Amino acid sequence: MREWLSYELADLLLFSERVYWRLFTLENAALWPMPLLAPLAILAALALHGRRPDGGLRLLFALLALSWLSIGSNFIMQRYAPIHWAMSYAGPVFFLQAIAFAVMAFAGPPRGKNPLPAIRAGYALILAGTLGYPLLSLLQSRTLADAEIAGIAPDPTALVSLGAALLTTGHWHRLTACAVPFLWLAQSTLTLYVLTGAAAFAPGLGLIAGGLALFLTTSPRK
Amino acid sequence: MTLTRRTMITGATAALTLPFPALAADTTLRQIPSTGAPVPAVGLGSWITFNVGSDPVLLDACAEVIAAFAEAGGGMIDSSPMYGSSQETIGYGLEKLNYPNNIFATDKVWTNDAGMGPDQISQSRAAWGIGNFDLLQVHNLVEWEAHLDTLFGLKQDGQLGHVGLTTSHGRRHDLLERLMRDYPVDTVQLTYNLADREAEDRLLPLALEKGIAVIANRPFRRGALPQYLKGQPLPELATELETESWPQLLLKFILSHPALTVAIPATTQVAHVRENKAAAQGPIPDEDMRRRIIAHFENL
Repeated sequence: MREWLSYELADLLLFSERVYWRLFTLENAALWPMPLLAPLAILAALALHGRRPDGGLRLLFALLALSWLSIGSNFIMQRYAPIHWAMSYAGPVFFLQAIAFAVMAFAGPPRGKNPLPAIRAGYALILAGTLGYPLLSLLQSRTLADAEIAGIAPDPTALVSLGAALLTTGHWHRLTACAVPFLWLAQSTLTLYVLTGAAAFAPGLGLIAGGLALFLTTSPRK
Repeated sequence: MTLTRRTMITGATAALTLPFPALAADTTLRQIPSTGAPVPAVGLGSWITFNVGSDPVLLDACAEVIAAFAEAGGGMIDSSPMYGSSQETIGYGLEKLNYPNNIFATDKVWTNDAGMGPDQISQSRAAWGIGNFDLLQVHNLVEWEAHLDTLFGLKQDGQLGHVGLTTSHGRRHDLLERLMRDYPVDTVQLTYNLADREAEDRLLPLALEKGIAVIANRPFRRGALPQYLKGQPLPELATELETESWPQLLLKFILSHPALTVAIPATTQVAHVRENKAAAQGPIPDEDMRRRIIAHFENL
């Protein structure tokens, strides 16, 4: 035990920043034109939610189910796991989250009125994940080729998932939608902090914003 | 095992029977004391640098590094099953070079499941695309008792050239010292550089006494030392040592310890491979110079 305590977080990351960002370059190129279509589909679900909340949320859950399944099998297992052994354990967790969203899409959201602040916060997180996240690559002196895109890359998809959790009601639904995304964003924040420092800002901020929004808009159980 | 071109390349036996033909005139050669096997003083690590997954661009970049290393005399390339895809990257680079005969293939066994050691070694061989290793080490002394049994057995059967132990970051030196005393290992790998000199107290003298080769890992502290020293003045004796850069001086310092056999810096750049290789050429610091280098470093 004392031996393990002597390890630092950096000792457990066995790849470089360059290799990490190249994962997104390769994934975006391999799945093209999905990097363009996936965010548009999420935005379409959001637009539908504005008119028909139940139908829009079902569509969003269905898209997230496909996204978590695809990211788990493609990005996590095929690209990330070969350079980071811990990711071979993360893959099945992504599949479980995909199943959870698929069940929620099939069953539909629970009845109950969602307060306006929760809906606004949910929209903000979803828009941040779909429109804001890809631009981070430019702010970090990278190119759009290695942009992290919702539906393709795990971090923005986790952020959109937190937004979806805010659009639904009921403790269990929210917990089911947000638990894995929270864990993922937490590990991503730590990973990027060790790799680059500054790039940890995005998942870290998403984690804090999503956590606060969910905490403040989830009514205590009676 | 089916005999194919991939299984017919260099390995432990080849390394011992074909003593680095391309290196015959290389003055930077050292020897493994227990077997007399020659090995160039500057090797090539693969921690982090070669863990590039299946990225074709980065795989080719790593292959260029391996090619430059082989062209500059070759020697020890060190990896581990722990290093992600590094073993496969090395295999890719070696295959592109048609398996040069001047590579001292070095890997590790790293599993908490004692019974899995042989399977892991087979997987490592397949990843490298080679028949046998020149050196296999127990990584970080994990399950050392069972793995040493396996490795000594392979060596006895002629399927392995040398048996070693590794540690890093100064961890588990007490256990390493005990194992060096109790087992006939050929090599030990430990962290040794200008900033990390704990091994000088007991382990390096013991290696000299027991005739155990020493491999220095983290010679640059994963790049942190050259970064820290960037812009700092070199000591005056650098001219005497025909050295114009801190990385070269750092390597010369490591290689100047009488117990040291090989240093294994890792890099992603061809230019750094050549610079590192050049560090073993020319004068090496004597004891007085070593003291002056340490004093200069500690006064920065």
